[in-house]
Amino acid sequence: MNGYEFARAVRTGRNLAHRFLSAPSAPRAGADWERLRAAAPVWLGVPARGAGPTAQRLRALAARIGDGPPTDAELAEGLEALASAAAALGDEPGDAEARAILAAVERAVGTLPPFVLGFDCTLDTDWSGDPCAWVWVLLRDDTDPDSEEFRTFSRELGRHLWDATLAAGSARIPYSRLHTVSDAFAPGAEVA
Amino acid sequence: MSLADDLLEQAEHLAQRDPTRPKQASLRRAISSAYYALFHLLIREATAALVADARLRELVSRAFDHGEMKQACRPFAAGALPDHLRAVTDATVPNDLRTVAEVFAQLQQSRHEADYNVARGFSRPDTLGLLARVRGAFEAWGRVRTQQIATVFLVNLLLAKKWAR
Repeated sequence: MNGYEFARAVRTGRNLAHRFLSAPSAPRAGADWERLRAAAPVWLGVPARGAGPTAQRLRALAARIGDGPPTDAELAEGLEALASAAAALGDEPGDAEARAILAAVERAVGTLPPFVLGFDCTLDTDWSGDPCAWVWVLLRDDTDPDSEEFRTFSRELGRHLWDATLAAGSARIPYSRLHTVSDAFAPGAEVA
Repeated sequence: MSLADDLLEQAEHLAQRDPTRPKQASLRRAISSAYYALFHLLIREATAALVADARLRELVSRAFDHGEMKQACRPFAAGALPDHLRAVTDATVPNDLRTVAEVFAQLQQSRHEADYNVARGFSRPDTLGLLARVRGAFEAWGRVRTQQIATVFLVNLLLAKKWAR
């Protein structure tokens, strides 16, 4: 993993864990906490492939966690490492816009269906060169894409994204991508 | 069944092949077919609205440009029409029309990646999610197609760039 990929992985982690990074006193229990636990292979496991002391710390933690779900204490330790990595990286141009879009997406979507673990956002241009925002939706591995609940979520997603980008004051075209934890964790996977 | 319906059915068939280990080729072709299903649906409706002569419609249908159609969809997807379009319709953009416009823009981008970006992998949930959106867009179009603003949308697909000059 090169430096750019590590920075991208930390930003993805920051976006997935933002509720707990921006409010360290947020209750560490409940649905959001369990989503963070299920998403740990992405926000904790992917940056652990990088170089440097933070990645080393995450790698040691990931090795202790193994294949099972992380404990509350391990999640807390991972959050602390992620927070220091994010602080060291600082903000890049566009981060504030991406954060505003993500916050608006979360407001527009409202209560998350159980198979959605979180969102990430990257700013880019589309095939024709128009500025766009990619909103990545992280799904549980056991998501049933044939279920009515999944189809309903997918159908409503596009309008939520347009409402969200407008609410965030962005003129970008919003596009979505859905991927599971395993897809996102796979070595060499295109990282959000 | 029309070409648009056949393409969507083909897309759904491809996406359902090998559900436990789908081939990238099947998922990519499913996305591409789903985009062209919506593309041909809108072209057919637009040429029917614009041209009375059935033989001439085929020729006119070749004048539509993918990129220009995406640009034309933007204000409808956002639900915020420019002044020159607001001047010719009394309606606000119905949610069904917003759905058609946003799905068209999304699928055009996804189609481009499915056909040309070999570095990107497609998952079954991502593909089935896109197909559900196209199916939803077909249904939404069926509900909204007789409204006057739907005709404005169709004509704008062909003329938006010229009106923007």
